[in-house]
Amino acid sequence: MNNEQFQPRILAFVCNWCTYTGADLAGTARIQYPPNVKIIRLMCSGAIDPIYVIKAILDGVDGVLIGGCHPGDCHYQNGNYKARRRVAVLKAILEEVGFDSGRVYLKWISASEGKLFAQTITDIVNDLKKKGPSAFAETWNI
Amino acid sequence: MKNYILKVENEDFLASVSNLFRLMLDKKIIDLILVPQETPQGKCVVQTLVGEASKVVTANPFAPVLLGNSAKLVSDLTFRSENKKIGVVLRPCEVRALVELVKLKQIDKKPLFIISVDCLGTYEVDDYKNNRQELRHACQACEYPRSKLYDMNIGFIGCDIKSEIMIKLGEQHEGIAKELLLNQFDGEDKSEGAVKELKEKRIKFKESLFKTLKENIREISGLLDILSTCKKCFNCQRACPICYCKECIMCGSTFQYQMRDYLKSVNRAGVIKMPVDTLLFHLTRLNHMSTSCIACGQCTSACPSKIQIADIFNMIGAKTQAIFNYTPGENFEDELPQATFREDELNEK
Repeated sequence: MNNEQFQPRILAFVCNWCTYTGADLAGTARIQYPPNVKIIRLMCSGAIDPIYVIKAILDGVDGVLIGGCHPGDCHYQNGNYKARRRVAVLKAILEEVGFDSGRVYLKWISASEGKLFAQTITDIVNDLKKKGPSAFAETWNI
Repeated sequence: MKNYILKVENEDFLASVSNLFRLMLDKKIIDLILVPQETPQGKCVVQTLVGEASKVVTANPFAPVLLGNSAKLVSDLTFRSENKKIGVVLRPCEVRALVELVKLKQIDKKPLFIISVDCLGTYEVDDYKNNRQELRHACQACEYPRSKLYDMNIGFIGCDIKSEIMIKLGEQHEGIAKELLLNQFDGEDKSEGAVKELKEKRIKFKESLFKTLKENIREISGLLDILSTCKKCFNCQRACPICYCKECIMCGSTFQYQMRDYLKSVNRAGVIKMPVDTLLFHLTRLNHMSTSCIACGQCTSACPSKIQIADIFNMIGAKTQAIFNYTPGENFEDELPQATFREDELNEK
């Protein structure tokens, strides 16, 4: 597939209090960003079990965004710090088994940063267009 | 920590060790003992829970066979414990699993008296029964022939077992030496040198093992090839001492699919492998427990397809543990990496 035509599919796990509200703000403020992302809202980035991220990757999404409050701003005190450790483990494992861990993005976006949310999605789409489709999109024996 | 000598009588060191355990029960140092004993038919060695001194007859914690990681048994024994002191005779890998289970709040260490034994490695169960002497991969790559944590360590590495065994007692237990008729040994402890030598040999093996494996799974297709015979029986998860969940998320209804779920996948890709989610299962397990993986190799031993899954967990576990500079089973103080955090770490760009 031509990389120009390739439209990456992104799954975003975002926390209710910051990144989701930030995405909401991007919408209400009519900020344009690529429609390649599907958003799943969780109460906290610390509530994301890596199993769902891996499931998405094995099902062939091209990138996963995990969005939470800035460090220190977690609605539940420290959920995002724990998410950060979990993502570090996840990335190390993916890297070890030969999957580009750069397709997993961990970003801190606050409720007031609608612009940053739109920019983040734009950046990720551009990045993934460069990377091309995920290897799992074409693998069936997983 | 002091060293003591257990005199071996009639060149029968197993009998002397049984004798030692009987003494411990007799003197009420412990009320119960979990100890591997030879079955009456003499074909295998199994863990036994003994409450009466005279029933410790064929204790053999040195036989190179392990039916499972006994830390799981200790978890059951300390569940709502009954105010009894339990002596648990464990190999180094079992002690390290015990440490992790204590941190995971699956073992209460208060009633335990940990008796660790030196271990030169174990064979697969059927190899042991059929007199094939081939160490399991995990044992060949194990750098812990002697446990670092114990209340009492029974050491035979570097000893002449026909005449004596080296016993080490934890500091708070030095008082029991007299009761157990142990003589203090003030000479130079040569066994540590032998342990170190063995450790270096094992590390060398581990490095070469990891090197080949790393080469093999550098591309995702390599791992898929290794896992292609996985039938998702969950034996590895059930045999794992660290996987303590009563029901694994992979076994529950979350990943129980219906026709329409399969149809969705088939319509997208045209073809899917059945059963689905084998790679998901292993990657998830790696995420959930690899930071605590103590590399006992029970997952490989449990695998009906004989996949060397422990090598993969051992290698990747070492990577995830290194992120947090954490060594599982090393001590009771270090916090579990995934249960804690530091404010200033892992900063994203």
